[in-house]
Amino acid sequence: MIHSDARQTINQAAGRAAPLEAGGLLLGWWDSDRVIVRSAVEVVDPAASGTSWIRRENLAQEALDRAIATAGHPWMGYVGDWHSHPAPCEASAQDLKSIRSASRAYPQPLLLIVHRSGGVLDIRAARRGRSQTVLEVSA
Amino acid sequence: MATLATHFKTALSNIEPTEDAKNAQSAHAEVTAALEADDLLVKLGVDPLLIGSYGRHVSIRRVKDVDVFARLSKAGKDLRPGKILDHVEAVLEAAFPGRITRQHRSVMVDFPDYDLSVDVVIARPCGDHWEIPEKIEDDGNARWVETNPTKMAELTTQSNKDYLLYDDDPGSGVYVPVVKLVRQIRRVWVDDQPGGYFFEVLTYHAFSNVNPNETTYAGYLTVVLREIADLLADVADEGLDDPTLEGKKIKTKATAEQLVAAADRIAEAATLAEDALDAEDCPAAVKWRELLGTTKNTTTEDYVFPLPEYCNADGTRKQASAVTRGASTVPAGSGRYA
Repeated sequence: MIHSDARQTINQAAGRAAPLEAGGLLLGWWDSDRVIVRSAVEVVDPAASGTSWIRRENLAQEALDRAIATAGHPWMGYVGDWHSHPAPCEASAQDLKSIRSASRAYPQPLLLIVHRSGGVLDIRAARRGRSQTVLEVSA
Repeated sequence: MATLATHFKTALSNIEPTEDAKNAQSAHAEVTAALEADDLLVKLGVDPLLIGSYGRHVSIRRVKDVDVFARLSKAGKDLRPGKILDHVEAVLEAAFPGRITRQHRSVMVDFPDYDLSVDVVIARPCGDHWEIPEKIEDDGNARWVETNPTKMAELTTQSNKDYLLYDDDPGSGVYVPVVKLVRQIRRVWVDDQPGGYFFEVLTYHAFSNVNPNETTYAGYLTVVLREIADLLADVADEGLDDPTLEGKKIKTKATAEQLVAAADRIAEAATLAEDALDAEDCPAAVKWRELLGTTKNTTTEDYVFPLPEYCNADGTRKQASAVTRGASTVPAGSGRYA
């Protein structure tokens, strides 16, 4: 489930950053095997380009710590990454490789949201290093 | 102490007039184009400006009317408002046939597809300020009254820069969100009058008086609401200072009884906010829900403040054994997305 707050944050950040890529963290929790994305935060990549955004550990951890501290929500934590594609392209092979790699650090699945030009969200999942099918996405 | 920042953010989204904003922009552009295409109005220096709560970005769902200030920058003291308003009416009738209503000092254009209207008020220069007709008589003459609608927009922008949720984030202005929350509370707790602008000015004075320095929406709203309640108690006798015009008071349609009633209700609301701020998350959320009520003038009346996912409607906490909290650490190293 992707909450409208998360969609709004991603849309706004992607719009501000264009024609460069923007990206950040998905925040939420796991309910059995479901990933609940309650909100999103932007993490600025100082070297972002029109075709690349990098999650840098220090900056990302700072953003996560701050988001958790200010959220006032006991379930909130990191559940995946998002980034924008200024072009109408879906998740790339590099994107899928990165989220698979990140997912090895957690027992639960991670989500990847790619914001394509026009506001379309491409949603992918990975668990323990393997891609997973996203069965259902609701508001 | 329950701050529920995530849920306040959602509450603010729930009162944001997203769809109305797009429509208001289109409607304003259409009216402006019609006014600027007229030769006489061009000679009078017509320069329409969006004013009102929508123009100041403090409007909440639903926006039913949008105010356009038709500045006639080259108009002299001999301008007869009745005559020029007749002309504006004719210009707008030609552009929007059958959708025009003449009002006592303005012309209203209906946009039924958007379910909103645009109110066009003419204005002539008066030193650094502007004057608008107070009430136009049958002979076309009128008394003019001084106004400065752009000043309130400037004060709003400045206050939103002065009061921040996070000192190191200039984009975290909290004044505008609190004005919106107060406007919503007025709709829920006050019977019709005083109106939204009156409460916006009260909020401005409350910020100026208290100079709050909180770290959450909940904290700011609670402090400001109590100050508004205190201010309202005095306003019935003393009037409310107009922050845009030195020595002037804000006009209101509210009677003295309505002002007293509003003061009592807002005092109640302020007490509820203080209780919510002191309570644990789930009982606090129930109180914030009561304070912010439901959306008004919308197809369905939905709660503005969402119930947290971990709370029951009665304020108890859910037993959620299947839930695993999101991770507290990000993946090690860097992750490149392309």
